[in-house]
Amino acid sequence: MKKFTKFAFLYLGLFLAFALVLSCIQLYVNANAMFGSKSSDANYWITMSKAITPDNIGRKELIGFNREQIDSISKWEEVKDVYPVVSNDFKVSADGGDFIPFYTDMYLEAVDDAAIDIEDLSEFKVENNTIPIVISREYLNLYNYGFALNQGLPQITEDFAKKIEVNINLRLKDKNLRYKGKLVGLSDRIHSVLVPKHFLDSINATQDFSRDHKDIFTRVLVKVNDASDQGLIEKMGEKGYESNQESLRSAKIKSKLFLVLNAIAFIGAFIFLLCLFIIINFIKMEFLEKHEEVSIKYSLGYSPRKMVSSISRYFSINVGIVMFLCLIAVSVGQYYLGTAEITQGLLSPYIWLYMWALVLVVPLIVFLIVNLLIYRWLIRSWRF
Amino acid sequence: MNSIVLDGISPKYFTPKTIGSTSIWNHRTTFEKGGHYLVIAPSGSGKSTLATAMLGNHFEYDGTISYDGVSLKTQSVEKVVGFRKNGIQLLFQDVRLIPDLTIRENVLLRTFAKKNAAFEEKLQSYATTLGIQPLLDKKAKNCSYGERQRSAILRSLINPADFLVYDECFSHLDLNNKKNAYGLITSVAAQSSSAVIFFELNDLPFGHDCRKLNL
Repeated sequence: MKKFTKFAFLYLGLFLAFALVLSCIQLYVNANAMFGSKSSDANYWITMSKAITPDNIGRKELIGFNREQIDSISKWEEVKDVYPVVSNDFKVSADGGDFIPFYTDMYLEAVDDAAIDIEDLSEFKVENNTIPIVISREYLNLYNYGFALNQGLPQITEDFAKKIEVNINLRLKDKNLRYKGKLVGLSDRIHSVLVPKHFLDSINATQDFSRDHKDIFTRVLVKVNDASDQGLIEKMGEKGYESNQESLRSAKIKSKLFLVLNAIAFIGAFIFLLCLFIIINFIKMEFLEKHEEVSIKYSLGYSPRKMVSSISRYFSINVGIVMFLCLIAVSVGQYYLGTAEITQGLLSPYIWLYMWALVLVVPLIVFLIVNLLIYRWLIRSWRF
Repeated sequence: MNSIVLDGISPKYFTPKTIGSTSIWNHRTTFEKGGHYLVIAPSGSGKSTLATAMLGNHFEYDGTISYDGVSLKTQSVEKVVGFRKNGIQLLFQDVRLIPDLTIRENVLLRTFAKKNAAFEEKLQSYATTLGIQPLLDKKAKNCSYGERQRSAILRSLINPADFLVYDECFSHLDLNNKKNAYGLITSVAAQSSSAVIFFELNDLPFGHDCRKLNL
């Protein structure tokens, strides 16, 4: 094979290897941009519960989290904070009194104020026989867009909802209590009917008909850096915990995408190693073809190390040029991807800045490896 | 470099024919800087083996060869090669020119890519003395053996080291060329205070001032 053809195949192989590896790195960065990346500053909230199985149906002590399990969750490295959700241990009902003719059995839950996504919680305390309530915005939406439309009832705005007062009836073991219930806010984070934790704890403490349920929390709110963290998903899977957060679904897509990217990057790295091997053999062949010249230079006082360095430098510079061309190609690709409508501005039109450093790093690594291996080969096997 | 000492050396893998009558094998011989030496030995007595061993090209001998008291065997390859720039150089019996390079390029290999007007002046002057001036731009592979031998002598003188070793460097030269080459070698050696060591089959066929040694 002619020297030119050999060179052409070598550099084509290198270009392919670099293109695969660089594309994988850039796609990894893109995937993080689209699915959310890990950041110590970021806060994501997920509501964790246990999967319902035939073994734990109806058994609060099994379906809920005990203190030990909550402590264990709080020690996971992906978890920043854990807020157990307390539920009522007594019967609760609500009615509209004379103003709105309705009656319903209901439930109450409570969580630390720090976990509630309402800015002003100054009204969130029980005063004058009035219980402040925070409900999920989804509940109001369900009423407005589902129930009210079908039943011919009027839609209710958030401000109007805050003005409505209903009766909350608590049926305790030795007495019944009646409170006024007043909506103070809507939560996007927690799908529940929340009342102040201090109030619910104090009422629960007076009940003793379900001691098995003491310190059992049916759900926990968990604050994490990255709701799509693969480690978190795996741990939840192992323990049988689940969450219906959208981020968990995207995490599964992300993990599969990363698996594919890893496989492609592995192939790229393998081709790169193959090219490195070819370069080393190429240089060996060059030395063998120029055996006479090298021997003469050696006998005249030319250092073998310098001769090897000179040829390694030549190949390293060429590798650098191939890497540069490859980065340009990936940059063009990224620009078109970043400005395409389908990405909706989520991607940068530029490649990850640190990738440019590879123009120096990779040739330097090639130089060091090739230099070392060829020099050792030359000194050990060469007959000058 | 001021001296090369051969101390009790003998080839490892063969016994020279002259081992019984030699003044070098298994003896102690010192070559001093500035001296002129003529080592005479018949074929098969190990001239090339000794010359290449003195250059540090191999260590297939018992005993020690030392440069200024430093044994070659204890030095790294890079150190040994380092001595060749200014310490010692050898003109091999087979002249060793790179066939695809011109005579000029071959000669200038000894200048280690240093561009210097003095080298060009020397090149022209020595080439004229040796009668190879018209060959300077000819490829080595297109020159006769005698022309290549004279070119190799020129290469050895362009940037002379402290010790100039010649292994049968006149073998393909006529008497006149031998005299010219010998005269040039000794005069350049005198200018650079270099020692000259000739390895020859017989005594030189003209008057000389070399100290004779039998191998």
